[in-house]
Amino acid sequence: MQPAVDFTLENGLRVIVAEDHASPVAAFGMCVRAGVCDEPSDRRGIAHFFEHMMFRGSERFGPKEHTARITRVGGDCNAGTSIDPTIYYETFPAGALDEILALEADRFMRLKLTAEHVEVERKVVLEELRMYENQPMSRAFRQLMREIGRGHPYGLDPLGRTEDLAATTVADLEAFRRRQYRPGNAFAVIAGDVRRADVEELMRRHFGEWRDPPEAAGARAAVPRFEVPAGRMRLKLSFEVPAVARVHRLKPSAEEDHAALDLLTALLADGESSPVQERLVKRRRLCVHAGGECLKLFHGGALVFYGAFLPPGRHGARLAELREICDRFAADGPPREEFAKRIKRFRMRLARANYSVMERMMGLGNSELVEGGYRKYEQALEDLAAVTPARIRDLAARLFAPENTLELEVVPEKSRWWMPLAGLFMRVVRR
Amino acid sequence: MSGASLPRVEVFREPGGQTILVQSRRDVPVVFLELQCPGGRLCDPRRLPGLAELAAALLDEGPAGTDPSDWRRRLEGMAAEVAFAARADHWAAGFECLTEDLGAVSDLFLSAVTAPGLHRSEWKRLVKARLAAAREDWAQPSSVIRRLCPVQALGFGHPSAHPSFEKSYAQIDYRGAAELAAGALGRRGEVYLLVGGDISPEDGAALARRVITALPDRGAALPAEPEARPSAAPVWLIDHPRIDQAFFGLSRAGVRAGDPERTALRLANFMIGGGGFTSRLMDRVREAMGHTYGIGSSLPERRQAVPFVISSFTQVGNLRAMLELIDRVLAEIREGGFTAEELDLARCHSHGKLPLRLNNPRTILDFAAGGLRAGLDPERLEADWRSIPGMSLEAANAAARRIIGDGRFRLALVAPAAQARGQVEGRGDIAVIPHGATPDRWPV
Repeated sequence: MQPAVDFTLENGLRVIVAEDHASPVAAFGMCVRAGVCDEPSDRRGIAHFFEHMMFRGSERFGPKEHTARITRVGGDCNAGTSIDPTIYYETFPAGALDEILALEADRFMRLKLTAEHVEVERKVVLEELRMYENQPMSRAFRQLMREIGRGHPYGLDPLGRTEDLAATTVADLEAFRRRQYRPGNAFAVIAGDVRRADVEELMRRHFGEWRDPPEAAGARAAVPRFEVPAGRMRLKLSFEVPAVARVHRLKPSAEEDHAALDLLTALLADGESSPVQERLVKRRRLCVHAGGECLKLFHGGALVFYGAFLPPGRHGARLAELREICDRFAADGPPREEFAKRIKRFRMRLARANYSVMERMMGLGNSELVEGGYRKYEQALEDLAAVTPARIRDLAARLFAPENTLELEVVPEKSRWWMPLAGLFMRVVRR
Repeated sequence: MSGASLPRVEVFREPGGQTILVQSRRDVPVVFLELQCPGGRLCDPRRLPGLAELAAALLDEGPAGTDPSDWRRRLEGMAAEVAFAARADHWAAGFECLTEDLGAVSDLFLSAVTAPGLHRSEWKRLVKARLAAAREDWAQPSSVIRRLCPVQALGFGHPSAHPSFEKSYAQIDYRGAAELAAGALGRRGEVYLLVGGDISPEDGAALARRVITALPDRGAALPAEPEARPSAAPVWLIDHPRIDQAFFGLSRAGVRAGDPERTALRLANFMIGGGGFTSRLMDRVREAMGHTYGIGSSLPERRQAVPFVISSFTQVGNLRAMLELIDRVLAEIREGGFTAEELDLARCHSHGKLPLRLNNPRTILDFAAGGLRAGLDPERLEADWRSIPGMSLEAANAAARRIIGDGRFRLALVAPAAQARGQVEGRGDIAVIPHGATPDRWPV
């Protein structure tokens, strides 16, 4: 396994290559900066709709050919649209690299959008939207994002709005393509049993003619900074189990201290022996499940610590415990001996990730996208080891300050008001 | 098509009847071991699905004489994992660690296996965690449909149709779970030890032998597979008034692991609906008509009976049209077979995909152990794989006819009954089940 390297084609397309000759497999990913912030206000969901259209055929390859050709070599392909980017990815036998790049280049440069295909795919994306709406868990997460992101594009659903999807035309999709799908707004990552020189030659051959359209200069609209609202909120969401959360405001991803942030999140919430999990779940028995997650986004993110509990009871006690954990951490700083332990867990995770070229490709891509460069993925252990207690304390002081903190009480939509009474009754009867 | 081989697995048959499988890969400094003993969820009494899962959860809390929090802290301090699980027909107990900690972690693992603490102090917490997870899970229509089809096809309580739920967890007591956990692991019976990663085959086998020696000399007597009790009503409709789609599954008898026609059956399932975007169902139902976001078929291979299932979802008002289209597609396959192009794609993918999927020691060893459970040694698995490119259209078509049978499928759906009932009329008796009814109350 060799360190990843990069090069940039004359058209501005950046390419990251990670050679790994352990097995004859490769993974390709193309990341396009096309998400909710890039959608016209009356065409919500167009980024995701367009992603579907990318599988509907290009000039050289018919509507079913992209998937069929990758399937034929034993590979798999898919794509995903999230808040900030859209990512296309596949795994395949390394010997098929030339064919894969030819397929990818043709759809990125010469996609065919026909009214007939748009009509069928519109039905598909509407079914997908309905499906997520009918699953209470996914509906709850989307409701949560809507409430926290109110007033910012991040509060919008990447799946879009029914009325906008119904109104989207071929011309809208074409305009979106010209604005977002251009070499200056994308980068590619290739990991696996490939050689840099071959990749460079093939990328030049297949993607060399891709050009930013003239109107693309300055095409990215200014997006306001996303700031998690401070204070306290009580939300009725379609979860079945009540929960609490502390949501801390993060800076835009380009400005954040990622190594310190990852270590702080791990020190507080990674593993059953971390303070958040151990105190809420094991020691105080206030929650049945607890943890922490970091949402790193272009325009501002969120660090979330949460706990779900059963039977329904007082949110206040759980929030107070979370507050106490965070405040003590900010005041005392992390115990030095915990650093090595948490970094070792990162080492284990990174080692395991090396089994899969897809995981390495995704890790490199994610670091390139939100952490300031793909090298951060490979330097993660060195960067973590360089984090000092003082850096963690400073970060905690900023994140856990009241003006950067939202305390959330999550109440299930479906009322089970009788549950606490039933619990009390059972306790009385048992005594 | 590639002439490569599948990754090599070393197999050691022990005098005591145990089988050790080792897959060495030295470039990643991680080692894992997994002990598999017969039992697992097969041990769940009919009334108490979830008992084996809770027994495994008790084992997970560490050895006697060690506080569960201290146990977890020690493991996490080494970035190691020790885990116990109740799988469909076996218990699994294993660890994973960095090579540098192999000695210390294997000692900790052995202490948890040979002297489990079964800490009563953790019981309520373990149950509550499962109650909460079950409550969330059973609220998702897609989760309900996944369980509904096997129960409709085989009857609640069959090993492949025995889902746990909130009330079943609530009825399980500590004593029952602790008794089951205490006797779960032993060296007798069909015992497998999987060792993989940064360790030589010889050292891996020695490590496995150390575990075997430490195990108690016992083995569980497993219950015989009960007879399937398929539902009388061919249509089960779970009335969910708050959704506007129908989530559904069409099921009929499946196949068992080790079936002599397994390769042709897998290819046929791939072409029917298991092959994602390239399958006939996906092509006709999604790509051509836009009826749904996804449709797929699954043909699990287990030693116990498991149904073949086609599952999807669509707007309720569109359900009849979509079901009729599926019926037509299946009839076309049964009567006209697949095209040579479809078969070629299925063969190429299935042959090319397996070496890509077997990319880490755990997956490779799971694959090999799964084969052995079905009576197929690694050489047989390799021969199966090599036979894929030569599979004939006649064999694949015959396999498809066997999967589709007479085309009569049971239908299970989660949908608002008021709108859905009219959409499924003509498909036989409809049993309407209230949303939230527990699976032990579903009709038989």
